[in-house]
Amino acid sequence: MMGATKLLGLTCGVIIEEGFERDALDRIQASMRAACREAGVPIVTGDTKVMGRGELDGLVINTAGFALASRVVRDNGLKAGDRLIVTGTVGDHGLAVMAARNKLQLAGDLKSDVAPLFDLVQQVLSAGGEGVVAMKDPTRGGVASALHEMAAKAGVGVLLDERSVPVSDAARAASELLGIDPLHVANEGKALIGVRPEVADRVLAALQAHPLGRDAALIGTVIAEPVGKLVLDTGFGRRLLAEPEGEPLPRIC
Amino acid sequence: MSAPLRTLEFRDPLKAKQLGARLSEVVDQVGREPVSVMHVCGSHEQAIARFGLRSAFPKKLDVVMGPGCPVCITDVPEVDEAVALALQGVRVATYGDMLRVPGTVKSLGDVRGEGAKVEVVYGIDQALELARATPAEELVFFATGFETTAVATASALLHDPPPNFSVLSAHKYIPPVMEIVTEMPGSRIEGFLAAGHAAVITGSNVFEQFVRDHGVPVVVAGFEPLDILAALVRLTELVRDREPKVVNMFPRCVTAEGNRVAQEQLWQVFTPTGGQWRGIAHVPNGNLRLRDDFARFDARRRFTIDVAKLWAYAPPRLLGQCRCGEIMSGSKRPSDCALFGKACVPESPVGACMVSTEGTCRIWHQYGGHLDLRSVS
Amino acid sequence: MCLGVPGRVVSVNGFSAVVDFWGVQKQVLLHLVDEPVGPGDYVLNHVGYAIRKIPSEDIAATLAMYDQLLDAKPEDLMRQDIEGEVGASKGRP
Repeated sequence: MMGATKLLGLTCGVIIEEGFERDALDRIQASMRAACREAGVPIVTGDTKVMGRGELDGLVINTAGFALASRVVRDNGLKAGDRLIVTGTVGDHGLAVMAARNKLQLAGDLKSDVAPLFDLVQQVLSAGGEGVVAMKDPTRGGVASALHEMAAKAGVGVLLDERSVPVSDAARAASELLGIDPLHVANEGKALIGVRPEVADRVLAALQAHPLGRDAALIGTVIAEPVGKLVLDTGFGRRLLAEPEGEPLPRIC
Repeated sequence: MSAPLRTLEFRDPLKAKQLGARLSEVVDQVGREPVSVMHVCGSHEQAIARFGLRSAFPKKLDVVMGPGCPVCITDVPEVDEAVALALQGVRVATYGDMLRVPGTVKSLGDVRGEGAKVEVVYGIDQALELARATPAEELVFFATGFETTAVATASALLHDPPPNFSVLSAHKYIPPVMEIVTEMPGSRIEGFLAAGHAAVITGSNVFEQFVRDHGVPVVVAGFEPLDILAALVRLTELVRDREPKVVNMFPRCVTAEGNRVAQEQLWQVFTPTGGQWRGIAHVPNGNLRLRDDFARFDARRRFTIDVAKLWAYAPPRLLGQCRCGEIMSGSKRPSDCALFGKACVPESPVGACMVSTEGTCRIWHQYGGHLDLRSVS
Repeated sequence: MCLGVPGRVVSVNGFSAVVDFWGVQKQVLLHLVDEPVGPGDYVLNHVGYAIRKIPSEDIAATLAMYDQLLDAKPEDLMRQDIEGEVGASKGRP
């Protein structure tokens, strides 16, 4: 996530384990085709390799995107006083995957938030202009990891208001059942955006006008100290929000 | 409003502030400091940490985390048994909490990474399903947790488990350990918050004898921020008034007698026996072992578990220097331990308090002690 | 030490119930609960078992009990101050 304004293409390298099911491969291919069509970007290069049975677990896909940007927005541009916006509900993807992978047999509205963000980010950049100073996608490790990285790279801290963080009812239910913090699990269709305070409202309004940004919210403020740390205001008190260690696991206690 | 949503009423910050202010008043009225109370429940520590309640506690009140995290107090040899079984090629299922708990040499997570069959389940019913799906393969459920969790194991064994299923019990029983901690030399614990969900099973009456014997008040507490704050107010009132008694502050879930149906199943399947709790002490009647009637489902009697094989490359034993027992009894702080932050860190913990995300040492290590974050803006 | 989550029973089939937790449904076993449970009842769930039927009137009773603790010594000035402070910040939706 770097503020691309014109998408050029995707690379796609595939390594397949010998004997991988043909139907599964077809399904993956169809899904990639649909995703590319939705995002309006072609796969332009790549290579396929086959490895022996047992040398890898099924299939490995590696992609990289390339694009043009009029101004590159990285994840290290925060300074004290900036505001932090998340573009929608957090934790949906990670909790949905965890529920499926651990065969929790949860029925309901829990599903991954996977979505292409190009168009949404365009709206953010045109609304906020130079005031948009940092962006990052909170994938593995969730919002907690992404904000730690953003804070460490910029030499600042973050004060996060827990009750402003949007969480869907289904994700909240799963997080209570499993004892896992929605801030610690992966998202696949969300962005964290750091903005100068004077453009915060404008960027937020632009996001909320977009179908993928309806639940966008201001969730925190950049602070000078403590550097590299997240201070979480729970409404009851404050604590540091740690980075998750390894893959979150369902708890009994 | 539906009941699950109504539990959110117990997360009302306004009431929390009021209760916090009241707690300060009562602690002041005790007239000395610190007033030390202990909770014996990992979920209490989890809730205290998660909601940032520690920053709302009065400075004169020391809320000590006791031996209430079943993950922390699962002893090294018990983890070794599960690891050894997995290394012997037996499929082992367990709760997610246990995956990273270190044995003498390895954790279940380590051996899973090396190809052993280790499954993480949400509940024992899921482990039973795994066993039923592959009837030709043995499946051992590494069962941990206090009586709240043990009743689920008991019930599963009473309701027609498949023949290829067995249990490696590391279940523990809380009431006896409160006596141990109270009697530890140097203990300055003046009152206990009892674990609400365990008391759902045992009932609050189970603590009456303890209070009579030790003259220390016990308050049964729930797990929402207001539950914890209200219970602390009541507990410090009892300390102030020198009134050792049992008070149930979690009546929406806990009764005096507890859950009889669950108790019957628990004691039909398990019998209490003495056992070591990691970093604390040998606790008489603190472990739950399968009764002889259920020997065929007891992994310890079903398999020859070759634990000694694991120890061939064991690192030097550091446990002798571990101060977890004193930290949990409230007489020492993590910074008093020579291992803390050096030989004992979250990635390679030595003692119980560093193992779990709820452990005192772990929280100190992660948060640099009790940071005061009120002024940050 | 034990994660307990309250939910509302949707349907019961023998010793198995479907329970709703904030819109997510999960199967929960009823072997351990000491009272008859039917659709609409609330139960406390731990590792896939209901361990307690929660009478919904008890929730109101508990909240009233907490208020009583506060009423032991009402300090209206302080309360107003707190209310002002909390009113300024946004509540949970």
